[in-house]
Amino acid sequence: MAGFEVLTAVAVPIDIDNVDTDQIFPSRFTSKSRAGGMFGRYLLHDQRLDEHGRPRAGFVLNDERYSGAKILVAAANYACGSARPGAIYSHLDYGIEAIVAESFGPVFPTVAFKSGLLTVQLSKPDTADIRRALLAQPGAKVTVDLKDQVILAPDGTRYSFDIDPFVKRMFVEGHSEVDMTLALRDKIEAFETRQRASMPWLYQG
Amino acid sequence: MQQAAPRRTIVDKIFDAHAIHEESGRTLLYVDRVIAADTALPAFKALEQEGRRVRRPGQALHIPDHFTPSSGRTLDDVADDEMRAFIGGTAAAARTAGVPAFVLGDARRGIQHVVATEQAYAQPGIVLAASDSHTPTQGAVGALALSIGTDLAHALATQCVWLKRPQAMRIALEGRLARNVTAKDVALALVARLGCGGASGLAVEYSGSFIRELSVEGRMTLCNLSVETGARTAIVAPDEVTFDYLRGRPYAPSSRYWDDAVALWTALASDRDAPYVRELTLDVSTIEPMVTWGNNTENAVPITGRVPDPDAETLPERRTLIRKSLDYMGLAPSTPASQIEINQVFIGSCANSTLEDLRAAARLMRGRKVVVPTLVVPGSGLVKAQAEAEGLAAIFTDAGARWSEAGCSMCNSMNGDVVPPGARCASTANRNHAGRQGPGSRTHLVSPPTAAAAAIVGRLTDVRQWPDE
Repeated sequence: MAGFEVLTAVAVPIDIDNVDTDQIFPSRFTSKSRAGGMFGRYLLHDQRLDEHGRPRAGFVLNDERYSGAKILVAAANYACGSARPGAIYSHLDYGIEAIVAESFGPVFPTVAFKSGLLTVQLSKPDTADIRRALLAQPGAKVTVDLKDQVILAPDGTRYSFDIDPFVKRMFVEGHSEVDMTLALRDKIEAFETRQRASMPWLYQG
Repeated sequence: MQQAAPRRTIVDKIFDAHAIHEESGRTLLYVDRVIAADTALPAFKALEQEGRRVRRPGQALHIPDHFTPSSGRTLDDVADDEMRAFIGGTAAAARTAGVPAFVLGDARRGIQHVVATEQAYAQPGIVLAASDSHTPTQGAVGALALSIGTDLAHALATQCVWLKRPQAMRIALEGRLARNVTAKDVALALVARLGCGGASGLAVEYSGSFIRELSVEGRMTLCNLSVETGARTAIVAPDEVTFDYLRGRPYAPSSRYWDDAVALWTALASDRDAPYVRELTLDVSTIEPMVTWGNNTENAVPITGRVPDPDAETLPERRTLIRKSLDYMGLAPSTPASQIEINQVFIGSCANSTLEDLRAAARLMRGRKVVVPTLVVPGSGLVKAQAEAEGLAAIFTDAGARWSEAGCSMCNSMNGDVVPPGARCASTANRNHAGRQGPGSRTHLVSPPTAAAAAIVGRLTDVRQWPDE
C-alpha cells in the first residue's frame, strides 16, 4: 500500500493526552468484520456516541466543520495501550491518513505506517500551537509534506520534523516489507543454520 | 593495542545474536518463536491473500485467549457467532499452515503469556514475538519478548522483524516487601512514579536484591506492567531462580542440552558498566498496597493515600485530565483510597493469574464470604488444574466467587465478560482505561490480596493489617 508524499487536508485536533486504544477502537468491536472499510464507524466510538448511539455534543469529531478530515493532530502518548490492529484500521477507514502528535504509545508508531497511516512527532508546544489554530478555525487545512519533512499549519507556520528514513521510504514507496525481507532469504537461512548449532535445544522434537 | 570490547546489556547481547542485516538504521532481527492468538485471523488471511506461507510453522504456536469463554471449553460456550468465527477461523488457519496449537479444549490453553512462560516456550536468550501488547511479560525468563502488533503477518511469513535497537533503562529494586504487599504493588508504584510515557521506547531491565529473590511469577507481573510506562520491552537476566523454574518444563532444553543452555544463559547477564540511558533505584520496603483511581495505570496511589484534587494541580492539562477521570470514575476529589466502595471483583489477566497470584488471593479469602460478584480466572488450564488440586478453587467457590476457564476474560472484555455501566470493579489486570471492561465500566487496579480483601469487605482496604484467617 503506497502512502502520500504531500497531503493537504482538513485536520482535526484531539486535545487530550493518553488517548488509549480502548478509546480509539473499543475491544468489543475486535471481532467485527472490516470488509468494506467498516472500521471507520468504530473510531473513538464511545467518545463520539453516547450509550444510545447519539452523537455527543461537544466532541470534536461530531463538529461537521471538521468533516472530511484526513489529518489528526493529537497530544501526548496517543494510541497507548493495546496493540490491536483495529486501532490503526479504524483511523484509515474513517479517512485519516496522518496523525501528528507530541508522542505515541510504544507499538503504534512502529507499525501504523506499514498499513498506510503516517505518524509524525512534533514538540509539545508545536502540536499545542497547531491544535489551538485548528480549534480557532475549524475546517482549516494542514499540509503534511513528507518530501521536505515539514508541516504547514493553517496560518502558514512551518514546523519541520524528523522521520526515520526507513519509515519514509516504506511509506512513500509502499514496499512490501515481506518481499524486502524475503529478498534476504540467503542471510536468513545462513542464520538459521548457525542458530541450530548454537541453540539446538530450540529445535528438539 | 587491542581495543576493549564494548560493554553490553542483556538486551544488546540477545539483539546482536539475532541480527541478520542492517538497513536505514533498522536491523532485521531473527525471531526464534512466534505466538499467534485467536486475534491472528487477519494476519493469516493477509498471508493467504498474498499467496504466502508461514515460513517456519514449527517455530510458531497458536494459543487462543482473547475471545475464549470463561464458562466452558467448547465452541458452543463462546459468547457469540462473531467470536466463534474468530476462534474457529484462526484455529483452522493455524492448522492449514501447520502451526502447532493449544486449541479450545486443550488442557494447556490459557493466556498466551502465562502459557508460553509455564511451558518454557519463552526461554532465556531467544527473540519471541507476538501481536499482543503485553508480550514483554515473557521477558521474565530472560527472553527478548516483543509486541509487534500488525507485524505478526510479517513475522509469520519471514520469521523475522525489522527493529531499531532499543536503548536500555535499568530499574534496580532493593529491599523486602511488607506483609501482603506484592510485585503488583511494586509495579503500580513504578508506573505511578515513571508515568505512562516514562520509559517510552526503552527496554527496561530489572535488577537488584529484590529481583534476585523474586519468583518468575513476580517477575512476570513486573515485566507485564512495564508496558504501561511506554516501554518497548522488559527483561530480567536469567539466574538460578529462572533455571530452577524452567528445568523439566515441556519446551525446556532436555537433559542432553541442559548444561550448554545454562552456560549460554548465564553469559547473557549485562556487563558491568553496560550503557543505560536511564537508571532508577527503588527501595521496595516502604511500598504500600497500591490502587488506581483514574483511567490510566499511572493514576496509582498508596491505599493510605487519597484520590487527587484537580484544584491542587498547577498544570492546566493535568487539571483537566484529573477532572475528566474523576468524572468518569464517579469519584469526589480527595476521597481516601480506602473508602472507595466497589461493586465487583476480577482476579485474573496476564498481570496476575499464576498459581502464586491465586494462592495470594486465596490466603485472604479462606473461610470468608464475598459480598460482591467475584470472578476468578486462572491464567492457564494447568494453573486451573493445580489450583483445583490444592484446594484454591474450593476456597474461592466456598467464599461465593465464580471459578472459570482460563483466558483474558474481564481484563479486556472481549469474550463477553463485562462490567456493567457505572459499576466499579477491583481488578488485578493492568489497564483501567475508560470502557476497557465494558462501556461505562470503572476499573480500580490492585494486587491479588487487595482484590480478595475488596471482595470480602466491598471496598478497597489495607491488606497489611489483615490476618490470614
